[in-house]
Amino acid sequence: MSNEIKSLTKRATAAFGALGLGAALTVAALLAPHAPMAVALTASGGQVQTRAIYMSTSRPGATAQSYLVSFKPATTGTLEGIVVDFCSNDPIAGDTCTAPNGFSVGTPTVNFGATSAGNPTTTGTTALPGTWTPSAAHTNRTLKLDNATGSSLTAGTLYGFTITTVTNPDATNTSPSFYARVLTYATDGTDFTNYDGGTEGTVVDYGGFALSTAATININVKVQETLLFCVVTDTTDPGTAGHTCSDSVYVTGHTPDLTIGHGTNVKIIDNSQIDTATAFMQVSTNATSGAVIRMHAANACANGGLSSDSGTTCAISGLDNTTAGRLVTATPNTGNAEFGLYVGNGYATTGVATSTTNITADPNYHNASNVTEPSTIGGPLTNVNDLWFGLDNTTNSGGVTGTYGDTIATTGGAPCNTTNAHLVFGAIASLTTPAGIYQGVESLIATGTF
Amino acid sequence: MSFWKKIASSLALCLLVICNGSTVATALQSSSATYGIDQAQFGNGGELDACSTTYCSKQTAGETAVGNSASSSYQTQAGGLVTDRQESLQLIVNGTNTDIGTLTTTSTATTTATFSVKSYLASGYAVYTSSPGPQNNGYTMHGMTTAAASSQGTEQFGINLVNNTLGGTCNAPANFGHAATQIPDGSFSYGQAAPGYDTCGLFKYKDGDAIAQSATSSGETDYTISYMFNISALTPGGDYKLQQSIVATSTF
Repeated sequence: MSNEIKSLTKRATAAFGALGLGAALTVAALLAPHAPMAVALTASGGQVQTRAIYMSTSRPGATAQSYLVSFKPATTGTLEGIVVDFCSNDPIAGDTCTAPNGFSVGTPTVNFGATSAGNPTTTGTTALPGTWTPSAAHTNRTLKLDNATGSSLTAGTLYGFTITTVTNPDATNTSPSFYARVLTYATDGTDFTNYDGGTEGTVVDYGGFALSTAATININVKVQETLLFCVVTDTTDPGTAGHTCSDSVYVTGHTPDLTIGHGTNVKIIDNSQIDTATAFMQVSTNATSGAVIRMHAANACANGGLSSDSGTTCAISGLDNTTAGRLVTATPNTGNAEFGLYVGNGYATTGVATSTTNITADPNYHNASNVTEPSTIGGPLTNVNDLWFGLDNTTNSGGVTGTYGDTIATTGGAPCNTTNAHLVFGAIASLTTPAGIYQGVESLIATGTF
Repeated sequence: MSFWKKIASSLALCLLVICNGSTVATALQSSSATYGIDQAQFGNGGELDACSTTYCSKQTAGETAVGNSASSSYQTQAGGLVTDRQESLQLIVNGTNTDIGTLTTTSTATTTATFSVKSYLASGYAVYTSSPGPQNNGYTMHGMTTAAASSQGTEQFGINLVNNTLGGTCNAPANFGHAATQIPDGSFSYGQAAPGYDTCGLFKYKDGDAIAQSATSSGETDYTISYMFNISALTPGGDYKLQQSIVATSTF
């Protein structure tokens, strides 16, 4: 050690004592005059301010990601080159730069448009003036923006541009933190062309950034497919009374055993009027494509009509049509005995805030102009045109008498919640209908498409 | 230049005051146009690389001042060998794989996840959520675009970053979550939940929202994300996955 350096050490120690920094301080390094350094970077301006890089995701290795680079220049003046260099080692301009494992700016595509306030910067960014051509360097570690004619940037203005082709550093890096440096060049000459970390040459402004990848938070949850369907009968509308299929006690106590007819002690049908009986159906499903409701008639005879001999014959025939129509042309009925179904459109359940109305009746069982139901549930029709009926036994391989029955309504291809609809069965005898007890067993099936 | 002036220069540089508008940057920690000093420490002792065969550490003893000091124009990170003196951002997400089972319309599901952030020589940071809500076969569970309470039977997905408690003014669906924790304490760290995500019992979720923030450089803040799920009768059935990316951005 030279005498000069020894003297220097003594004086440094004494200086700290005089400053009152405490006893027993140790000078751990020496100030040694040395040959003028080979300065890797010379900056004529200063450090850019309010600098940040917004990543679209922090997931390691994510591809095709966006990085919004924003900063305020320290210097007003013309620039022809901007470099953004991504490093795993540090953000210090002038240091060498090691690429983070897996990182790439890609064949860079840069969006130079301005961004609005809050998206994501607080005040929004201003677009770089002029035309800038992006390119990659150092195996896609570095983004270079070249403006051959130069554009003037204003100190204190927040500029931004978005690289949209970035691949994040991957998970093999020893630290999720990584860095970037921005350097601006007055010309796109040799220094800009030959840029590398540690050999920046002469720049205008510079600045460092810190970024970080991070693990992804993964949470799994399950939702069950659901379908809840019930058919009941009641003297009052259960939907408007707020009943749902979830109420098993109510459903069990209101099974749809319908009796069609008029009279006080014994209900009969004759040719004098159309008698009705009403059931109510309700559907709830989260099926993405909604549900279809079909009806299958157990009596295969006479279009799924009513039988007094367990289905061998049906003296009261099902209404043989493929579109809704009158049960008979006039009352008293001088034609055939008929049996049919009317299906109403959907309505919500009272008291269920999220109840929906999306049940649409099939046109075979519903005519929009003829939907006037008896004022009393299960009463007679006043006029043959009040309500039109149907009992399709031909569509889809046999209609109501086919294997899967006939479609009577749908939820319109969408989920539904506690949606109700009326099912009005009508019947009228002819002058020659044999006496007897006639029955029909109609099975309703709801099918969800998930 | 006299030796005493050289000493004065080195003392100033050794405090490592980071000022705006320096004109020359080099690879040394401190330098002028002619002289440079590297790895200087004035203190009771220290070691840059104290190593065994397996581990290394940086050590200092008897430092008179440690930590961040700032004015409107300058800030300094004071301290010895162990203090990081470059822009830094550390985001650690405790990556989780959680299955919270099957949701029903008559119950609320909750869970939590944690992450930590620290950032030095920054004028602040913000933490953003970067992902859609839970998804199933192209269907995304409804995120709560404004902070609101849990409502069973209504499809909701939301988060907050506070401690949630049953009953009382909070009236959360469960006791879960935790307020932001400053490490080692509030004199070193300043992170907090962002507006909209900072109220007990209220939940929100918008892809791209800031969910946590600090207005200054900050030591480590540990955050807990509280997740809340409700479904309606119309929520499609299936397996839903939330793959949430947390992005921290510091402004320097």
